Amino acid sequence: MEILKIQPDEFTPGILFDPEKSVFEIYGVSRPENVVGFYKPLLTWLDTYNQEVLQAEPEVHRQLEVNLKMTYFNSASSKFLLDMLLLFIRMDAGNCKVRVNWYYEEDDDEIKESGEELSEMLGFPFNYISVG
Amino acid sequence: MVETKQEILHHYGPLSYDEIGYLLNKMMEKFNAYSLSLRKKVYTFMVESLENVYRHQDVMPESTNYYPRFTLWMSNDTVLMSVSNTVLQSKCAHISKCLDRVGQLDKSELKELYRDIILHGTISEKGGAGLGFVNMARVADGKLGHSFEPIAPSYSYFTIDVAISFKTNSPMA
Repeated sequence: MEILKIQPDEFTPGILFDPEKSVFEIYGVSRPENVVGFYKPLLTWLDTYNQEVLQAEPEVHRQLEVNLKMTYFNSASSKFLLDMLLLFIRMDAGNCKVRVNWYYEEDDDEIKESGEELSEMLGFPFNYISVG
Repeated sequence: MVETKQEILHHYGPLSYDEIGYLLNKMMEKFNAYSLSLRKKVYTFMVESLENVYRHQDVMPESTNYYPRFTLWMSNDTVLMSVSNTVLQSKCAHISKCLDRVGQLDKSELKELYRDIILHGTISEKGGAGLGFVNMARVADGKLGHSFEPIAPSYSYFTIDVAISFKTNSPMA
């Protein structure tokens, strides 16, 4: 599969996923005007990656690093972030070991707590990384 | 101490997505000296409330008297915000019921409601997740005020008010 790269702007997060390196990254602000239009294609892309890459070559892709570096996301985005993480957990249930890294600014308690809430809801541990 | 109330930000007029961005940037500029925690709370309330207006207002045809309104004031130890927009009166009872419901919940109950909606809810055609009022209540510790002013046979002017104390979010030295 091709590298997925979306540049961030004032309303939407940046996304970088190189399937060969097995690192997915989403970063910045998420409050898209058209939240469905932004996240639905991303979820479809990840689902295709799961079916066409991970399940087709399970012996090649044994681990995936997921880096979430959000500085803000609105309530509609949180629903899609949850759906996205559910897809990664599905990948983890297969042969691909997934590690979720939740980055937050040192004094940004809100973002850290948002990560803890998502992790608790999903019953999946995150690795918390303080920056700055 | 004498209570003072100073207007920091004000918008009155049609509300575009870019205008919401402008207001958010202005707020971040003006609150630069305050803690990240306070800025995040104010930012969250502004996003959820202004996007709520943007997505769900019912524009009154041929009227220029009741545009969306947003005002942010600072008092001695509190950030006050008020957001207003026109809505069909047929929706007022439902909106009021939703806000009364979140208003009765404490912090942990709001967290539970948030969890329930995010796990079991769906995104509406207008792009909302049904979490806006819950998120607003969470940053305000449940204390959201609201009112409906009848302005035409089928329309009311709907206002949400919030007060966020910054006693624990004081300006950085």
